[in-house]
Amino acid sequence: MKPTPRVAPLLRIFLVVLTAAWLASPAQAQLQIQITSGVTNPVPIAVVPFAESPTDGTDVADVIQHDLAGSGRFTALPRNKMPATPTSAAQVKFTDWKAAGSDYMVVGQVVPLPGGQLAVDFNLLNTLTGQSIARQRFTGSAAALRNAAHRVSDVIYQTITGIRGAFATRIAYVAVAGEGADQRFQLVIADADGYNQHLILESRFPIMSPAWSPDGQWIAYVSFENHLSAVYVQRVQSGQRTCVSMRAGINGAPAWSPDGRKLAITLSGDSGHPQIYLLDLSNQHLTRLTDSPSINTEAAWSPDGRYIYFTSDRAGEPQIYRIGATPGSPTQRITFTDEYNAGPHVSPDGKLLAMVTRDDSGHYRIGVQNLATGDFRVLTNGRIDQSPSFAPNSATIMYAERPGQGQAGILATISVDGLTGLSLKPTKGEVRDPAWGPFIQ
Amino acid sequence: MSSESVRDRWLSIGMSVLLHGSLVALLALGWWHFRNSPGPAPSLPINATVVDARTLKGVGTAPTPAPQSKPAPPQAQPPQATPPPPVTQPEGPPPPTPDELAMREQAAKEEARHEAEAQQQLLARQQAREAREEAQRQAEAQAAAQAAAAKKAAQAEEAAQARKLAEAKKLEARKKAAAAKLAAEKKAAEQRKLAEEKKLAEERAAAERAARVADLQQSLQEDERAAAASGALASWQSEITSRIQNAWIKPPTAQPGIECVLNVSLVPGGSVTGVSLGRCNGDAAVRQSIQTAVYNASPLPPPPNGIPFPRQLIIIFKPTH
Amino acid sequence: MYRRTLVLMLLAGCLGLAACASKPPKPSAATQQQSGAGAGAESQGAEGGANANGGPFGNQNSIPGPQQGLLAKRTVYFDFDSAVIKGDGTDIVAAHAKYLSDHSDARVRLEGNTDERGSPEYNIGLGMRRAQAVRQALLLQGASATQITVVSYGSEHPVDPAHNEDAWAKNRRVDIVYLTPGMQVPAAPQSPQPPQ
Repeated sequence: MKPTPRVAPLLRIFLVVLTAAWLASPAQAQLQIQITSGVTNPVPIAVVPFAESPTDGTDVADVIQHDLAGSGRFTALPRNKMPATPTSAAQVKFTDWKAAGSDYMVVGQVVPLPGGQLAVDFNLLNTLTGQSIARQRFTGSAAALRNAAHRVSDVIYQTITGIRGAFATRIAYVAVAGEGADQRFQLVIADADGYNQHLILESRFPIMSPAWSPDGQWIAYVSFENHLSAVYVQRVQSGQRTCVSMRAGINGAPAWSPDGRKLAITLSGDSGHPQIYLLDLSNQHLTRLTDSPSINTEAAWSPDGRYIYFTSDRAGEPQIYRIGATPGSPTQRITFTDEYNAGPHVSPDGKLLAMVTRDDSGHYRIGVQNLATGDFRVLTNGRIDQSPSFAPNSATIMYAERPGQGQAGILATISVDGLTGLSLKPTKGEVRDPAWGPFIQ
Repeated sequence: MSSESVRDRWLSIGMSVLLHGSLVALLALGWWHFRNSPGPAPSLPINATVVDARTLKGVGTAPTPAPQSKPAPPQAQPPQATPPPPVTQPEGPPPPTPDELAMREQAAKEEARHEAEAQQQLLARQQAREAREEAQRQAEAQAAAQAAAAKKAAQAEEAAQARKLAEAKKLEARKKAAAAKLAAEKKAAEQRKLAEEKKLAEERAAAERAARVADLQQSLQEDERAAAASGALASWQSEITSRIQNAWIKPPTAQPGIECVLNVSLVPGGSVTGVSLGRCNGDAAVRQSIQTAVYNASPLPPPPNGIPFPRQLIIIFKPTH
Repeated sequence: MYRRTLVLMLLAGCLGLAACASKPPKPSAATQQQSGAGAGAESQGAEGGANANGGPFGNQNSIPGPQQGLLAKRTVYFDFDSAVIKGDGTDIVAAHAKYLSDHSDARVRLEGNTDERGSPEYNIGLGMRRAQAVRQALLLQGASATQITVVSYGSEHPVDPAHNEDAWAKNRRVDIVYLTPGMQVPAAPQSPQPPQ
């Protein structure tokens, strides 16, 4: 039956009232959404070329981009995809950058200062909100421009991931050049990305096991000059060096205590088994820690200085054990996965233990064990990987890789989640034995 | 089994052991006592028979026998000694003079007196011995009687104890029964109360349900009017949730325990026009990431047909792993 | 804190010289440039890397040593992960033991080595185990302790840098290097302390 003219308006009113009631009802006015998980994809960022005065050719934006992308936590917009090249926030048209897929972008410039110094200004922007979320200036010499770029990377990294960046840090490693009578062993210090190499020792005899002091001022290492092993400690700035142990037999594997006062070293004597000793650098007092008729070496301190992790083959094949840093402490076995675990290194946050592990097919790879849970993961997939060393922010491990035939050893990094690996800038000859230095204050 | 009856049982066992033990102890005590008893006091009356002293003549002066445990059987009659024949005048010799006769008589009398004394002594001794023996017999009999009496008494006591025990047990049983009955009654009462309460609650619940049903029916009728919209509302909500989740690049510092609230302003069409941070215990990286996530999820999908976008959304970031 | 550490270090430096027997030859401590002249150690009689002279180091105090028969052989080989002298190594060791015992003047340095696989400092231990095995064998067959020095190069001093089984087998070795006769065994006077 057709509604009478008087009813139709009523119906409309009724519907409106209903909608209003629905809108006004509590469930709608405060619609709540709960988010309990997310994704761990790399963060998309665009590092726009910096406005630069002519320098030695350092492309600051490129250094930053390489740092961020190499960490595995960022994915960088290629330059050929950039919609523009702004050098300050005022010049940025955010919607274009959002459309290009970048959540964040970095703009900046290199400004010459009176006196020959350079200032690196950068601005980290959120393309979605249009806000500046980090903005800073780093000043330094022209020669230190790369270092300034790394410091910018550190700030960006920490702002977006919450973890302190380790891009402006240094590494030490051993390089072997030449062959036969011309062979030379070198102890090299470089930036964490392999640039800016400085030779601090050269010898016709092997050098091994460089170890940074906690304040980054000294490096301890093993040298075979005179055909016999000895442990040296050398000041990085001046090159001044001191022999701290040249006893009969093995002198090896120096490791600094976290307070910088002691060195753990391996000594064997002419006929004894290698044992771990603590050498007090202030008075040369030597204390023995291990006492097992087996090979005990490769001491690695826990960050609180209470324990020393080390390699021992007292059970047959090498495994990793832990002993208290005072004599008479008990020893505890730590690794139980696989037949061969050696070369321990503890992450600076104390959570992970990196090591060389050999799997069933005879491959030597880098593994990490969670010290709290005992979970064990193999991170790399090489054939002969050695010498793991944690970055000071515990997020990345550097190690030496001996690739296949005809290739020299190189240095590589792997993120602790195992997902992102990088090879360092290749150098002439073979490189090995990396040691990642501490944060630079 | 309830703890109370277990306890009662143990109590009964204990009491029984105690009683029987004391009985046994008493028995042992009486036995020992009897063995070591020094003999009855001599003031007790002696039950003896008179024996002719003459018949005892010739019985040797045997030493008094020690008291025996058994009363000695009566001695056999001693062999009777013939009395001495009277002195008669002989035919030959001269008749005695009267002095001689008197002397002979005197002597004879003395002799007789002596004999009589001796006899009396003997008799006395015999009597004494017999008396002693008798006394002994009496004593033994007494002791035996005592022992028997004691035994009887002990038996009586045992019986009494047994009776008492039985009574106690009976009492216990009665008490237990009473307690059980009480407990049962209490339980029954409780159950009744529970049942009543339950019934009451059920009634209330039923009433509530009925009321709710009535309410629901009412709101259902209301909802039915906006039926399509309410069903799709939930799925719209979950669509927004998954959009934002896929857009949220979680920094390593977004660990369980972090909770951050964003108040999001929307316009029709679903575009996010602004976010404001509510309470948040995360670091700068977390705060940055959640804002970016919301913007990246914008514009939000449209709500079900005919219903306009809400102007405000509250988004709570609370990672669980 | 750092200054104090520095002073302590300097003091330690002075004291520490006592722990070192001989002054090390001057490797270029602070050179920035890479020049061959910075090598420092002169090499006398540094013929090419013939094994007879103990490898490519150009040992400045090594001498050719005896060359008769087995004595010309200076290398003893080992199996993977083993410190047991294999093959004719035992005969070679016996020959050198006899020579040492006959010539109380003679001095040798035993250099233990491993192949390149595994952790480098652990390999130093393995190389030392091998060198000590040879030392023990020499002592048992007539040599005296003052005639022998041991050192382990671990995997740092391969004769064949290739990454295959052949090369690895050649690198698992102990080299016997004859030194200038009568030379004081250049080991430090201090041995590690006995257990507490």
